[in-house]
Amino acid sequence: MSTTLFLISGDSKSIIAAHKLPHDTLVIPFSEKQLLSLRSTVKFIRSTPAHTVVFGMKKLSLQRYHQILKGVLLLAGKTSGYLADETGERSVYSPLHTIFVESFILATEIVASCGIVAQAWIRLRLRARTEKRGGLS
Amino acid sequence: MKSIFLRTDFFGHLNTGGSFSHIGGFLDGMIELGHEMTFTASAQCYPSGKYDFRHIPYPFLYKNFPEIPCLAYNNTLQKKLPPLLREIQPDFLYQRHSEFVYTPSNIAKKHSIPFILEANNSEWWWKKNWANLFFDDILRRCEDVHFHAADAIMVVSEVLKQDLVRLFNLPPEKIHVNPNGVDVHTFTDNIDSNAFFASLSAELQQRWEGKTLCGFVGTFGEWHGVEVLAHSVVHAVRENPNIHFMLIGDGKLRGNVEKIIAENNMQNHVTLLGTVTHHLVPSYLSLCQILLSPHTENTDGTLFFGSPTKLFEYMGMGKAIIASAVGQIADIIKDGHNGVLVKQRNPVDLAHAIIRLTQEPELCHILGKNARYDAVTTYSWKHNAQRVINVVQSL
Repeated sequence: MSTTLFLISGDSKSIIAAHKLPHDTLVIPFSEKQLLSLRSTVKFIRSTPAHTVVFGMKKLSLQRYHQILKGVLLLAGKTSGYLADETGERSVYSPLHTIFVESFILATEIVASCGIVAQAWIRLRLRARTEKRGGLS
Repeated sequence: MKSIFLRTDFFGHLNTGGSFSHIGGFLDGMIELGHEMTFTASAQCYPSGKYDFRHIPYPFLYKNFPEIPCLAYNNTLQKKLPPLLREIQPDFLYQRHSEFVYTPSNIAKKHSIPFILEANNSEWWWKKNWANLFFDDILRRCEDVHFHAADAIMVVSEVLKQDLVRLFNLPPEKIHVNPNGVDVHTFTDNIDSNAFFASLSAELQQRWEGKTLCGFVGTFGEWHGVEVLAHSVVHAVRENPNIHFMLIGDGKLRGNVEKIIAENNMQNHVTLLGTVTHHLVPSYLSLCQILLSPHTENTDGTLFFGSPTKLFEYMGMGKAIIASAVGQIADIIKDGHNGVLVKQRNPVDLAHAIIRLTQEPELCHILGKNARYDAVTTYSWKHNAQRVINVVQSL
């Protein structure tokens, strides 16, 4: 079973050792910025023949884009993979979990994000208005 | 005095780079002056126990879209900061400005605490020119209300002060210039470079043995002039094949630098060390005879507004410095006194300055000695912190 490690951050050797990945694991540098072009990223991941795809990072809890990364694996047609960090922590990917759980987390985030943007838009306008009158509300 | 330092950006797992040196240096400077500092951030980025650290993590839910987590962090701060203010009762609140975070000024005002904002750039300008910006109008408004609400703004250079006055119509008297600084105990002229050289790999020893080393450290950003530096290699080496360049760091333009070096077939005259653990940087720099700061004006034609930490670190090392005559660098480096100034974006001028210094070791010694003196007497972090205290006391 071949494995490819897309290294977002951290040390590939530490990640391979912490997760007991095969010694012939292919390591490919991967930048978060690549996620801005989702279509080409999916194409890129799909083109890797690896059975298991691992996104490697320094620390899982400090890594953004968990659901997006799993969504990329899903769209690329991968069936096995996980997000893994140097400390041995991992977040396992499965197509079913991504469709039925992660997608809802993402949808919740989208709705909440719209709320955050709207809240900031209103607050900033109110602050600009009240502070010009002198004194915060 | 008691103060809380807020680091509000999302830096993930990173713990190296200019911002870490800057914040650590400032905190050390404040503590050295006898002030009490509490440091808050979204993750621990200094050795545990070094500072009174309070963890204010980014909200868990917002992880998949850029810029949103920073906006959401305002709500986190609104919940977590007031109890901390009540507990610590600081004499002032100090925030390192970061994108989309605009509530600390509001919170400080509600608690009647002076609010000092350290702005190292306008994030709006920065992202518009050098990164991806999705919520243009909101970021501009965040900065507008935050800058106007701050009691004082500390900026690193006069150019940046003028930029903020122009961009946000701010009163100039509220903005105070506080150049970056250096830890003069770490970046020092008394490192045993021979012992460090002996500890290096055989490959590096062989590569650098008997060479005149010219060093650079940086994140290979647009403003660092690394491409100019790469182009200067061929000119310098043509005149003096004994010159070898040591480039420390990694970043956006590293690929371009590698390409220029390969095109000129200069691989044997340049060592790209990549990212080096921060505590080893002074040891590497101690091996160099000349240190380079080839900064450039901004790509959009505006003036260089930075205050490069590396320049002050070079000064602390007591080495001969060659720097571009741009922005604050031209004020701090006095040509022929504590360094040599060259024209920006001019690899030939840079190479000539390098060749000249390799021929004049006595001049190198004098330049380095003067640079070290200036670092110790004016640009240590203690002096940087004192300038902030002076501003707070004047409010």
